[in-house]
Amino acid sequence: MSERIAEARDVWKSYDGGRVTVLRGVSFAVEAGEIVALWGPSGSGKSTLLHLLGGLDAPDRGEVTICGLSPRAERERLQLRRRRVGFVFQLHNLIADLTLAENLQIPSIATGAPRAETTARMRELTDQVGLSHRLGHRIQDLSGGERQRTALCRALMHRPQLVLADEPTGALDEETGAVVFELLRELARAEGVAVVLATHERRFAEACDRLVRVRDGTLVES
Amino acid sequence: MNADRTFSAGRPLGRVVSVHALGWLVACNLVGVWLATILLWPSLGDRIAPLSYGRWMPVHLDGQLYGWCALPLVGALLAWCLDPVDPRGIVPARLVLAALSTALTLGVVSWLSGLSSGKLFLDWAGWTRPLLPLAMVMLWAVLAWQVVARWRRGQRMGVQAAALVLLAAVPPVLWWSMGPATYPAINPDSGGATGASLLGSTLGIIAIFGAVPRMIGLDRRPGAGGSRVFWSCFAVSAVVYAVIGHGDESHHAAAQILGLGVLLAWIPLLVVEWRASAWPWSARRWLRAAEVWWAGLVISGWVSFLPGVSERWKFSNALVGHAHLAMAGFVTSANGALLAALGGRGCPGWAFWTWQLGCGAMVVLLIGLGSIEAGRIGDLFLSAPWVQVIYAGRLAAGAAMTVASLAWWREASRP
Repeated sequence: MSERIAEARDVWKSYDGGRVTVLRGVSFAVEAGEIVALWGPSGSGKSTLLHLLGGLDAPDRGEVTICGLSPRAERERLQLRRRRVGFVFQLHNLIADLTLAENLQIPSIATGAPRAETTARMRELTDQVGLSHRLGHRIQDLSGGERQRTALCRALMHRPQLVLADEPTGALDEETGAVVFELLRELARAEGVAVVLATHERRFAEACDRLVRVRDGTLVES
Repeated sequence: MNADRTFSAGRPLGRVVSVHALGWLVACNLVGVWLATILLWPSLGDRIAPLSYGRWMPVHLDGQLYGWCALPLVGALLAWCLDPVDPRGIVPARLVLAALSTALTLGVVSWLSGLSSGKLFLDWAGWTRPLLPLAMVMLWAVLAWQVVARWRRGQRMGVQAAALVLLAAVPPVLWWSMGPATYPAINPDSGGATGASLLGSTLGIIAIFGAVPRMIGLDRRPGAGGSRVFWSCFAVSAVVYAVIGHGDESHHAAAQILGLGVLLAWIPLLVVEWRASAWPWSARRWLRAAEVWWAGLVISGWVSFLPGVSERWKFSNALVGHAHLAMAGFVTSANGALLAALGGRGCPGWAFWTWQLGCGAMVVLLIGLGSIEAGRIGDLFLSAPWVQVIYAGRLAAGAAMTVASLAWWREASRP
C-alpha cells in the first residue's frame, strides 16, 4: 500500500472575514509517487487548496495532514515547508538579481544542509534539466522556460516528499510549457515524490495519474 | 529661558513627554536589536514563529517614527499652546500623550498579529487605520481648547490659532495616505523619490525644527536678532520647490539635482537659527550633536541622489544607514535638546556618548555594506563571512544604543 503524503478532510476556507468562501468541505488525498491534477477555472479554489496542503495557510475548519503530521501551529507548518514540501509557482518567484546557483542554495540555508551536499544536489538537478552551463548566470538573464526549470530544481533541492505546483506552465508559451511539464513529471518519477499540480490546461491535467476537477470550492474526481 | 512663556509646570511636562517618548525609543530599540540578531542568525526567528522579521519590522519603524520622533514634537506643541501659568494644563497633556501611546500600542498588536498595509511608516490597516488620526484629533481638540481659553483671557494667540488651522489637515491627510489606493505598497510605475519630493519633505522638517525654539519659549540670545533671515531663505527654498518639476521627473534631470542641492545651504542656516536661541545648558551637547548629524544628513542625502550613486544605493543597506543617520542621529539629537529644554532630565554623559558613537558606527557600517552589496547581492542572501562581520558590528552598535537609551529613560523617569 502506498504511503499517504498529504490529506485534507472536510476542509473549509474563507477570506475577507468569512464573506468569500473558497473551499466548502473539501476532502482530498495524494500518495507517494502520485501526480494529481487539480483542474478548474481561475478562482475555483485550486491555489487555496495547494496553500493548505503545503502549510502556507491553515483551514478554518477540517483537518490537513502532511507527511503524517497535522500542523496546527505556525512553527510546525514552518518545519514542514522547509523540509517536506517544495513549491513551484506560476511566476517562478526566483530572486532576479541572484545567479541560478545562488537561488538554488537558498533552501539549504533554511534546512542547514552542508555546503558540499548542496553543491552536489545542485549539479545533479541542473544536469537533469539541462541548465548546468547556466549556474553562474543571473535569473534576469535567463529565458522564461529556463527560469521555470530553475524553479523546478529549487523545489526539489531539499528532497521534499510533496511538490505543489501552482500553474507552473501558465506564463509560458505552448511548447515551452510542455517541456516544463514533462520535466516536472520526469523529475517527480525519478525522485518518487508526490505532486499536486493546479492547472486550467486540460492537456496537462489529463496527462497526470489522476484528475480532480475543482468547481466553486468543491472537488469532483474524474 | 523666558519663565513667562515656558510652561510653568515645565518639569512635569518635560517628564511626562520624556517618559512616553523615551519609552518608545527603548522598546523600539529592543525590537531593532532583535531584528539585527535574526539577520545574523535567522534560525533564531523560528523559535517565536509566526512573529517573523516582517511582523517586527513595522513595530520598529512606526514605533520610532510615531513614538520616539513625534512625541517630543507633540510636547513642543503642548508647551506652545497650554497656559504657562496654569499647572492644570498637565492633565490634558497626560491624556493626549496616553491616547497617542495607546493608539501606537494597538498598532503594535495588529502588526504582530499579521495585519499590515505593507506600506513603510504607514502600516496601519483595517481596524487600526482610524486609531492614530483619532488620537491626533484629540490632540488638536485639546490644543484648540487651550488656545481659545487663553485668547479669552486676553492673551495673544494669533500664531497658534493659524498653526492649528493648518494642523487640522493632518489627521484626514494621514487617514487618506494610509489607504490602500494611496501610495500602493508595491508600485511598479514609480521609480522612487524625486528631487522635488525630497526637497519638500526636508523643508517640512526644517520648518518644524526651526520653529521649535520659539514654540517652547526660548529667548533669543543677545545680539542674535530675529528670525527674518531664516524665514526669508525658507520662502526662497519654497519657491524653488514650487518651480522644479513634480511627478514623473527623472533623478538625472539637472533641475531635480540642483533643486535638492538647495538643502546644502540649510546646513549653516539651521545651525545659525538654533544658536540664536538661549538653550539651557543641558540641551547644548544634544544640539551640537544634532548640528553634526544635520550636516551629514544633508550631504549624504544629496550625494545619494546623484546619478550613479542613486542606482547603486537604491533598496540597499546604504539607504537603511541613511535612515538611521536621519532618525537615530539627527532627530534623536534634536529631540534630546528639545526634551532638555522642556524640562526633562538630562541623559547621563556616558549614555550620550554611547548613543552617538553607536549610531555613528551603525551608519558607517550600513552605508559601507550598501555600497559594496550592489555588485554582490548573493553574499547577503547566503550569509557570506564579510556580511556576517558587518551584521555583528551592527548588532553590537544597536545593543550599545539600546543600553544608552534605557539609561536615558530611567533618568528621565525619576520624579
